[in-house]
Amino acid sequence: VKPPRFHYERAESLEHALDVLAEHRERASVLAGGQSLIPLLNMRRLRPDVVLDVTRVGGLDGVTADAEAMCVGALVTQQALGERDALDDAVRECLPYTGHYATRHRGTIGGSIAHGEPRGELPLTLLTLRGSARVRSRRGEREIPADELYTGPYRTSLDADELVVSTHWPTRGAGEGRAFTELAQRHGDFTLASAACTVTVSDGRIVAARVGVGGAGARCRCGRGGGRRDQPGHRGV
Amino acid sequence: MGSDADEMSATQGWVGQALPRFEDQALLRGRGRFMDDIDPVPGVQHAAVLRSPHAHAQIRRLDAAGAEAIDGVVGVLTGEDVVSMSKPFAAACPSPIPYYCAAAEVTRYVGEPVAVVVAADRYAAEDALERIEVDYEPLAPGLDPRAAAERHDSLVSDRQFTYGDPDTAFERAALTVSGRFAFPAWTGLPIETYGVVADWDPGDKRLTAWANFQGPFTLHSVTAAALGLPGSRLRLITPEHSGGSFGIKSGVFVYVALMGLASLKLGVPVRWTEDRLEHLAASQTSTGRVTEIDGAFTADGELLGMRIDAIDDVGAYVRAPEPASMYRMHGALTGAYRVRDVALRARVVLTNRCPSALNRGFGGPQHYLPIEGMMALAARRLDIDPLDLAQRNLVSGFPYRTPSGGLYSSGDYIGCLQQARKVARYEDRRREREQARANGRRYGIGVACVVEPSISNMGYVTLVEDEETRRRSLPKSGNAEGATVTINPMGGVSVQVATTPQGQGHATVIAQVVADTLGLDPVDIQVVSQTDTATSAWTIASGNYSSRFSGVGVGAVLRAAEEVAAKLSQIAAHVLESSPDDIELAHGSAQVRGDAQSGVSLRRLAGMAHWNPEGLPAGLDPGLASTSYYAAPELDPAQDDQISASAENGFVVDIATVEVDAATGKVTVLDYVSVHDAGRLLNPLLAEGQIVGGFAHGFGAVMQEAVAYDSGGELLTDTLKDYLCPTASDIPPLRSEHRETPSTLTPLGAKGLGEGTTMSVPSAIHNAVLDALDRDEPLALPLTPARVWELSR
Repeated sequence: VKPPRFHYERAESLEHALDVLAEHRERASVLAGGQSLIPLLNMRRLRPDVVLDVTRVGGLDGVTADAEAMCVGALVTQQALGERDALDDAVRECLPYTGHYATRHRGTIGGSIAHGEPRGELPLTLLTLRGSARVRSRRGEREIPADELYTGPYRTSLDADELVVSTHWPTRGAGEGRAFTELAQRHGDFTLASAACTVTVSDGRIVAARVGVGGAGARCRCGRGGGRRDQPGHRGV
Repeated sequence: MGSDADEMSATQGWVGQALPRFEDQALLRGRGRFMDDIDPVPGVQHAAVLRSPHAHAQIRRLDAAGAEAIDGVVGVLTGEDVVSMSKPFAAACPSPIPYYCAAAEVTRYVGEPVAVVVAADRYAAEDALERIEVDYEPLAPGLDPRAAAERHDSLVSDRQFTYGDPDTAFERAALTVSGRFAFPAWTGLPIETYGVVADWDPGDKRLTAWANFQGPFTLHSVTAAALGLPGSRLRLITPEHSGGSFGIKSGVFVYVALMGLASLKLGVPVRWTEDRLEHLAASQTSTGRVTEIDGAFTADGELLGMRIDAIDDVGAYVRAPEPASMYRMHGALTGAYRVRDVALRARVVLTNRCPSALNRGFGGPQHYLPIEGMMALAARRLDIDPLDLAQRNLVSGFPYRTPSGGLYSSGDYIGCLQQARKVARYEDRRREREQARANGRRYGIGVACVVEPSISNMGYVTLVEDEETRRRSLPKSGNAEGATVTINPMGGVSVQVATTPQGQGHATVIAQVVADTLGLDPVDIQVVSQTDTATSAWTIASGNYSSRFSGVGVGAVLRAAEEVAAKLSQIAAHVLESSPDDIELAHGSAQVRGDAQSGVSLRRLAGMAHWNPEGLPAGLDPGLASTSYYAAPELDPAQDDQISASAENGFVVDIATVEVDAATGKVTVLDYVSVHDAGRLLNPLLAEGQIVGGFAHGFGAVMQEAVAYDSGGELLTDTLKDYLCPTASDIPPLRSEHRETPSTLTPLGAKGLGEGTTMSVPSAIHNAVLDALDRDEPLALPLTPARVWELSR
């Protein structure tokens, strides 16, 4: 397990990182926490010409929250987010299933979302909560709703020159409850089956529900229902 | 150690105390020196191994020119080189397919070496691997052991054994219980992978190899013979520290040969450190076994006879010491039961899988799953409580000679079972089971009773030969070990052993034993466990396997220490004008028994032996050191297809209580009780460590682990993402207790205990899940959620 030869580029700023991506596009791989990239390099399953290290880029490690959403900088680690007070239930519940204690100290939220592991806990939760990813390139910035983010296993709708700079997790609304659970053969393993959901109750009736299922197909999927009790609350996958 | 410790040593001795391990200091401080840390020779170059991506393929062409052109590459050793420079490895039975350390014409498992690149660093070596062009023509792989048993080119051994009169037993039976049990191959997954530094000296044509091997065992001879070297020209050195083996590292010898050939051909010392992908694909696994078993029972549950038809799948080649897995348990063929009428058909086959050999429990888990599974099925059919059924059939008079030749020297099987019954609160558990079932829960209880052999008889593998062939060859028996105890001029004591510890704590136990013999504190004794075939006192049996340390490893140390103690007593008697018989060694000095004022210090006595040989009593040789050997008794060569396959036999009773979640297939172990009798415990703390470790190893086998291939021979468990070894948090709590019925055969009364739970746990949990699911057919292992969920529907 030794990686093939590659050029290492440490981005000193976001602009620098975007310049490198614009130049090398598909031939560059972004290194943040490295918990997926480094094993893939060592097993020679990924052979980028350039490894772009974004860990020194400033301004991507903050978390802010307002009435609408929690905005998480791409370089915030899974552990740091998990230790935050007043964290949304589903996010708080999904983080302990994300890898292991040791890997969560390096693994980043932006990295997990961009990597697009089909059994990943964070992508499923973002999808279920109707979150989004903010991505930037030299051409500008855009926001990709989670529904449009994943196109297949490890595949996203990001262009080759785009970098995830933050992810956005909608704030829980009035009467809304959220949860995440997972079944794995060992704790910390890739899931056998996982589920995230959000349910909104008003006047004792479920008025909206959305359930995401992971581990059951090539990518996370989500269905929704609500209003009438005679309708199924989720769509099977 | 303070005066409290001195007090203890004076009254009851160090042996038997739960002394924490001396080894832990170095390990916990990060000062362990493992194979990859040691730099024994200058100018070492780094190897990478090109491996077959196919389960079975013809190599049409191999062109290494591209690799040789890479910057930093010293050269390439190909499979063709290997075949021209070496001989096939020997094994105990002939095989239609010769086994070399790399393949030249046909590759037979995913990961089989086909070439070695040696370069200035591992990066360059791995880059160069990609430039070797190989044209493979895939061939049809064989992966089904039962199909392999029908083909003459893959069936390497087929032997039948009959003890007593099984036919009559089955005629008399009120009930015959039958089942087919499959035990998949799994592994020990040591944290430290294989590692070798090979240094060929072209001047005196000698190969020196440093390797984290667990030998030298028989495999020093196997390796030397394959390389065409006389015994004096293969020097094997095993470093002091090991990152675990569990048997798996017996396979390092293959790479000692491969790297030795690379060093010979290329004229440089070669280092190879196996990576985890190589380890999972191509190091070694346990032996997979498929067993058809029939049991003949009376209506009230007496086991009258057994027929066992076992097929061992040793993988692509017969790798020594295979086919030993089939015969390791032969003395305990009838397990813990009195049954005398038994037939065994023992077949060994080749398939396109990674070669098998030692893995903790070696042959035991595979042996007990069908026997204990049959007992569980019989209990259901007879409507007898499984613990009662076991008790009705347990061996009860000792010493007991099994029909296949095993000698159970001592024990109290029924006492163990009663203790397990009590510890498990068995009657309460049965009631809870009834209640849970009434509420629709899937609650099950499983029992396993296993005899745990230790200290293998080197002769047992000759059972693979028929009586006539065996008579023509060198008789094989016994199991001997050597040790050296040395006292330096200042009275410092050191002990050198060839037991190649791999985390078991040998140094601590040796220090306890020698401290008692010489009247010292264990901290004063230095134990050197680095093994060097050129300087250590070793035998063909030396090494770390079959739980032999506490019997023969300790036996050799004790003898050497007693010889040195005798000499010290003679010198002391001379000085104190007393008789050697009246001298006692305690608190670091020698004194006349009953005269505390008479003491002369060990340091003084050692000084005399070293400085003033003229002053020694007449006839006494100078120096204070002894090398001694010990072999366990009663281990004769096989005769009439009977053998005492192991010197000692401990006993284990396990009771597992589980609940199955029908919705997810998840099995939760609610309670696990294991009661052991391994004779006298030399260090209860280390004993408990072995029990817990064996439990984890067996738990992995039954619940999660299996080296899996698809029907085309593609390896499915090629990373730790797919090969699921339980982590500490996955292992359920274990409640274990000990009884101590001392061995009458080993010097300190100890029996081996490193493998018993690995043998019992798969059976006990299998039986508990069988009960929870109310099934009358054996279950396939491992009991993954997907499999259990299918069965729960």
